[in-house]
Amino acid sequence: MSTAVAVRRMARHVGFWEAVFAVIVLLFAGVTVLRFTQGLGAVTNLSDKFPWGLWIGFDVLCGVGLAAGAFTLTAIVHIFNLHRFEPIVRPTVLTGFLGYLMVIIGLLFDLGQPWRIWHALVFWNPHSVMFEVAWCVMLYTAILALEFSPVVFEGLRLERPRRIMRSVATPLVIIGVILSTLHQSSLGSLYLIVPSKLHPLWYTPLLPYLFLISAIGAGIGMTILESYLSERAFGRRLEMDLLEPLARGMVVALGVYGLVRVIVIWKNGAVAMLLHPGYEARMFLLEMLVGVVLPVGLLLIERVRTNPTGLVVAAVFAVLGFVMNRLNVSVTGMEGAAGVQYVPSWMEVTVSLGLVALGFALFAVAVRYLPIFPEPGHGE
Amino acid sequence: MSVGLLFDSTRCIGCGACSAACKEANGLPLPIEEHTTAYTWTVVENVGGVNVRRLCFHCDQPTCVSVCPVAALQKTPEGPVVYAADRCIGCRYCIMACPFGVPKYQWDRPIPVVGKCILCAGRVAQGLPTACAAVCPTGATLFGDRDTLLHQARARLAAGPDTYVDHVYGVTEAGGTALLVLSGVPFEKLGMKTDVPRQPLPLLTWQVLSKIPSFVGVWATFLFGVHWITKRREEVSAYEAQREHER
Amino acid sequence: MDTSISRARCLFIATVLATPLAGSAGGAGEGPPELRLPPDVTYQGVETSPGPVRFSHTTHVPLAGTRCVACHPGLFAILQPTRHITHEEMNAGKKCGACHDGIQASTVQDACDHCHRMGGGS
Repeated sequence: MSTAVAVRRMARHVGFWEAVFAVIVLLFAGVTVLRFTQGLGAVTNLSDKFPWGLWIGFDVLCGVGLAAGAFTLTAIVHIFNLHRFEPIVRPTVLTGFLGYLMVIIGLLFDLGQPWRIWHALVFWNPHSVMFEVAWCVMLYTAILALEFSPVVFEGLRLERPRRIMRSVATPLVIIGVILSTLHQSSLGSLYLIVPSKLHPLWYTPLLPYLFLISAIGAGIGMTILESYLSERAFGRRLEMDLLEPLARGMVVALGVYGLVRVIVIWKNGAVAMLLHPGYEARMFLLEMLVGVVLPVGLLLIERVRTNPTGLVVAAVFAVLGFVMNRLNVSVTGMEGAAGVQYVPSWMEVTVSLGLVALGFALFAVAVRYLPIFPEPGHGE
Repeated sequence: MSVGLLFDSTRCIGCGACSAACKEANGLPLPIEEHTTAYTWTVVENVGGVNVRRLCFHCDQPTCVSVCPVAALQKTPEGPVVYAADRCIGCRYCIMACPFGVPKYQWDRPIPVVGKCILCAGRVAQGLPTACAAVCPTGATLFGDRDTLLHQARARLAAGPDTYVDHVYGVTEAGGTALLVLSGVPFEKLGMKTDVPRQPLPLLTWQVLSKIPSFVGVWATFLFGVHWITKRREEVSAYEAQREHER
Repeated sequence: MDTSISRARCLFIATVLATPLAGSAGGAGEGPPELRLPPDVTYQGVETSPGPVRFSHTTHVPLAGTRCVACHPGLFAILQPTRHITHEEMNAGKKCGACHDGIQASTVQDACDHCHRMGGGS
C-alpha cells in the first residue's frame, strides 16, 4: 500500500497522539495570546540577568542544528554525486524546511518586537554575528523552499517548473551548503562574545567549528530518526542500506567532535574541574556520555550498526546529546556568571512543544498530499 | 575630544541626586528602583557601607554596539553609547553580551524596548554636562573630557595612596571605557566585575566574521570542484553500465 | 509617588547617615566630602501673596536624611529651578504640601508668617 493511502486511512481514527496534539494546540493558542498582550515577563522566566532561555537554547539552537541533515544529505547526493542516497533526500529536505520554519516561528515568540524582524534587511551591522545568522537563515530557508519545490511541482503535476528547478539543483545545493556552514558555525560564534560569562567547560575560540561538526552529526541522527518515525507512522521500510553508511559518517563526525572537546578542556585547564565534579562538570560529563561515548561506542559494533533498532537507539542518544550540548551552552554554562538559576516556565515549554508538534503535523500533511517518499513500483 | 565621567566612590554620600536628575532628564517614570532597570538608568547602591553608582560604562569599543544585528546601539563621536528604540527588534543580544551587565529590558510591556544610561547625549551635544554630574552635591560624579578626567583620577591616586585602591577602573577593562571609577575598597567588594577582559570584546567575533568573504570563495570553489570531479566518475560508470547493458 | 517621610523616621535617618558623613566618608586625611547644595531660593510670589517665601536646602536636606530623592524629581524638578508654588498645589499634597500638611511638618494653611516674610507692599 502506498504511503499516501496509509496516511489517509490513519486520519479517520482519532487516537492518542491526535488528542495530545489537540491539547498542545489549545494551550499553545492561549500562551500565544498571553505572550503578545502581556509581554515576555508574563509568560517566560527570563530576566535581565538571564535574557535568553528555552526559546533560544532549544527552538533556535537545536532547531537549526537538527535540521542540518538537509544540507548534509543534499551535499552527499548533489556535490559528492552519491546518487544512491537520493531516496532519502526528499524527506530530509522536508524535515529541514519545516525545521527552519519552526525556528522562525519560535523567533517570532522570543523577539521583543517580532513585527520588526525585517529590520535586519534594511539596518545592517556586519560586525554582529546575529546579523549574519539572520541573513543566512533567511536566505537558506528560501533555498530549502526552492530545493523542495520540485516535489510540490510534481505533486501539482507541473512538469516544466519541476524540471527547471531540478536543473538548478546543484548550484542551489552549493549555495545551501555554504549558507549552512556559515550559520551553523555562527550559532556557536554568538557565544564567542561572552568569555567572562560562559563556563570554561564550554567556552572556546573553537565554538564555531564545534557547533558545525556537532550539527552535521546531529543532522544525520535526525535523518535516521525521521526514517524510523516515518516507518512507524506511514509504514515505510527503514532504508538500512542507506542509513548504515550515514551512521558511519555520524560516528566520524561525533568522534572528531568529542576529541576536539577533550583537547579544548585539556588545553584551557577546565579538565581539572572534572576531578571534583560540581554542577557544570556533571552536566558536561552527562552530555559527552550521551552525545558522544554512547552513540560512537554503539555504532562501532557492526552488529549494532546493521541492526535497525541499534541504529535508531544510537541516533536517539546522538540527538539527545546534541540537545543537551546546546542547552548546556545557552543555559547551564551561563547560569554561574548570571548568578541565577533558569528554569523555563510551563508556558515556554508549551510553545516549544507546540512548535515540535506543528512540525510533525505539517510533515504528515505533506506526506499525505505530496510525493515525499518514492512509491513502490515507481521510479524516482 | 571625547567626554567621560569620573565617579569617585569615596566622595559619594548616597544622596541619589544622580538618580533623580537622570529620571528627569530622560523623562523616565518614577519610582527610582533599588537596582538599574529599563526604567531606572542609574542608581546608587550601598554595598558593605560604601556607596557605588551603577550606570553604563560607555566603552570605547562597545560590545553592545558590535552585537546588535540592526545597529540600534551606536557609539557617538563625543563618547556616549546611544540607543535607537525605533530600530530595536528585541533580540536582547546586547543584554546577553555586555560584560558589565548594563542594558535592561521592559519585560512587562507588550511593546518593549531596552533601557540604559545614554550619557545624556542630547545635553552633551549642546555642551551641557550630564544630568547626574550637574546635580552631584559632592562632586563624586564629574563630567568632562575623558583624558582630563583620567589625569585627574591618577592625580588623586598619587596624592592619596591610603585613600584609594591603586587602580582606575575603566582604563583597561573591555579595552577602556568613558566612565572611570575610583574606590577606597577592592572593586569586587563594590560588586563591580573584575573578570572583564582587557581586550575589547568585539574583536573576538570580528576575528571570525572578517574571514567570511574569503571563506565563501574558497568553500564554493572546493564544493564545485568536488561536484565536477565526482560527476565525471558517475558519468564514466553510467556509460560503462550502459555499454554493459547493450552487450 | 509617595515620598512622605515621618518626622521621627526623618530624624532617625538623619542621625544614622550623619554619622558616616561626619566620619570617614571622605577617606583618611580628606575629611567628609564638601556638600555643594543649591543656593537658597526666594519666591516673590504674585500680587495676592502676603510676602516672599525663602526656601533653604540647608535646613531641609538633613530632614530628608540627605536623600535628594525624597523630593526630587517627584515633587520638584532637580535640573530646573522651580519658579512657582501655589497654595492650590500645596493643598493638593503637591510640592511643599507633600510634607507641610500639619502632620509631618508645619501646615501651610494658617499662620502665613510661618513662611511668608510679611510687612511691606506685596
